[in-house]
Amino acid sequence: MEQIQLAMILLNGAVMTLAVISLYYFIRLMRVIKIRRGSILAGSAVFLFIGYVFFILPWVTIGRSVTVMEQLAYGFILVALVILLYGVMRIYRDWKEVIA
Amino acid sequence: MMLQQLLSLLNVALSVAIVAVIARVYLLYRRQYILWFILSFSVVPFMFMYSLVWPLPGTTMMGIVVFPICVMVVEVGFILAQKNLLTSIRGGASEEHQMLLRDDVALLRSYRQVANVFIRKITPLIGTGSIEELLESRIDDYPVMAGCYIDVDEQLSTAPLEEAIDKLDMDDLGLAFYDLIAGLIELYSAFVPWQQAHEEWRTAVGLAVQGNDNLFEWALPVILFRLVLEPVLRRCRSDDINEIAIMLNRSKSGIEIQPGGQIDIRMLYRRQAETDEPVQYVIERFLHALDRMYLILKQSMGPERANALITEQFRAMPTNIKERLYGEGLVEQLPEGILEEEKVTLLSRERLVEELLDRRKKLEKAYRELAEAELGKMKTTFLDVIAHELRTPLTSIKTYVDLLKKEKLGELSEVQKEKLGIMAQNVDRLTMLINDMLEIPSIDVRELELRKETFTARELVMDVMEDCRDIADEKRQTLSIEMPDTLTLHGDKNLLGKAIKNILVNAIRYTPRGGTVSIAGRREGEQSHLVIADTGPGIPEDDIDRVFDPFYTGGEGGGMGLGLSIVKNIVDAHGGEVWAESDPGEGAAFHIRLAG
Repeated sequence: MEQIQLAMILLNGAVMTLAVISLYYFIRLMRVIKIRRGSILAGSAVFLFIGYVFFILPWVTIGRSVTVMEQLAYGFILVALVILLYGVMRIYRDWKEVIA
Repeated sequence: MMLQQLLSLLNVALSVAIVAVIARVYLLYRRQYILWFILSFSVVPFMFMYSLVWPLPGTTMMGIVVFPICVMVVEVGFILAQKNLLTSIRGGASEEHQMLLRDDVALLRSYRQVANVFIRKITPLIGTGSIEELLESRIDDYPVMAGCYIDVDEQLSTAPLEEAIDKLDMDDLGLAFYDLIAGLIELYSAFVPWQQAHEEWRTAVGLAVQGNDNLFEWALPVILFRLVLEPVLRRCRSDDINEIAIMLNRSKSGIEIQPGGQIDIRMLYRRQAETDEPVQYVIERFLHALDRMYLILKQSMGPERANALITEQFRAMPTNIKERLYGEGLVEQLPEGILEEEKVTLLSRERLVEELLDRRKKLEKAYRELAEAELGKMKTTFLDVIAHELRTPLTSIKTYVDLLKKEKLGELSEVQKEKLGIMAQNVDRLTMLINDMLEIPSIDVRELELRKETFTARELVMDVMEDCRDIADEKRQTLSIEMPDTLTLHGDKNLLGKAIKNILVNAIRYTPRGGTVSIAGRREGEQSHLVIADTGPGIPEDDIDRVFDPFYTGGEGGGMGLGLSIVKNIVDAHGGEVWAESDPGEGAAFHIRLAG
């Protein structure tokens, strides 16, 4: 196993652990708060996760990048960001109404 | 590589936009957790910028490890933000609690808040053992209570219920908590006088409703039956209590009166849950029960004492509860003698509002009438000024000009005659303009009705054309008419003649030498449609809607811009329609549609 693969496995192990902790808090929050935009944010997170997996998988498995995988990763992340932008804009509008 | 860079660029733009929106949320509602979101997400644009300037095939190990590290930073920020948000909505009365918390979770927390008030009071007296026993004893009747426990802080915890909130029946939960709180108060009453326990119950309910307005619906049966009626009943003799109990327990009122005067309202909670308007239902049940009770109370303790006791219970309520009760229209429905001062205040407030609204309406009406009268007066005054101050001297000028021209006042040189001719022309023009101005507002629709007649359109148009023939001939223009002899118009012949003439004169004025002005007419159902078309330069598209506005001249000289306004005034008074159509450069057409 190359050095870079080992480094990526270790680093991404930490990334995944943090993602699980974040998901735990997200689920707890969505159970109690009024904002009904949780599904949008969760949808965005799914795409973001897929994008990240596509991005990082070649580095973990073969120790270098694969162009098609990179492009797919960027595409998925783009979709995730579009959804996230929509979600935060909706939240902003909801809150503006409530606070106004 | 190009595609990858393009995607990176788009991702940079999107992530910057997301940061900007979250920043706006922060500006709207400055909270630490939003700041955490902003700080952590701010890393994302830099990640993509990094990949833009550092193409991936050449990436070194140091280059690629940047990405997981950035993602970790974002994740840590998100975790901190979410933790912070969870902490800030923990406080029952905080702003976050009211704004962000789901209604059902907020209700559950309010129930817990009321229960904990009494748990805090009971625990120092007998510890938590009895409370835990009480909780366990309720589980058989209300399985939902299995989700409650006394935590290490000796407080009631409802965390498992919050976890499963979507699966809970909120009506059952409300009833279960009522029963638990009633049990806690009973337990507490063993150590303090029941009056004190009730006093503390009132305060706890008042505070909880203040923190969560939605709790009022749940609290109402407690307020009316347990905190207003029960203290009165507890002061009655046991015979009276029994009599009231027999009467009310039979009447399907939803309450059950215990021998000591306690009121069991669990049935009422169940029935309330089945109605569409629970607040009104409970008020109705309360008034019904009070009505029955009142008869016995009056006999037993005398009406004054009964009234004073009930009034006292209402007045002892926290202010926010009283306001809600008064707002629901309860006070007005109470029997005479109870809360009389409040009734007077509420009624006088209502009357005052009614009186103010009534006066406002009268004032608005008077103001409108005054404004209309003032406008009418101004219009009349203006017309008088025009008629007298301008027309009278003009008549005098015209008379002397005519006398001078006819050399009745002495011989004139050719130059003087020429100048007098110009003077006479201008006096005529001025007179005509003043007449036009007077014509605009002078049509009285009621008078017009009396002058209306049916006549042949062709005959009227021919007369008008004859009047205009000289000016058309001067410009060598052709005037043509095309309409059936049978076409008729119904209206004031003079006014309609004037309207047609105004359009015709306008058409001749704007049509170049040698052009054609035509008048056509046809029958359209019950109406007659006249079209006056010319071969002039036409009307610009932007101006077509303004040609009928007073003083609109289209930038050309030759008139005050009143002719077409008068036309519209006349046609409108006849209930007809007038409009213009034009293709710039290809002439204009004016349409009049009137009753035939």
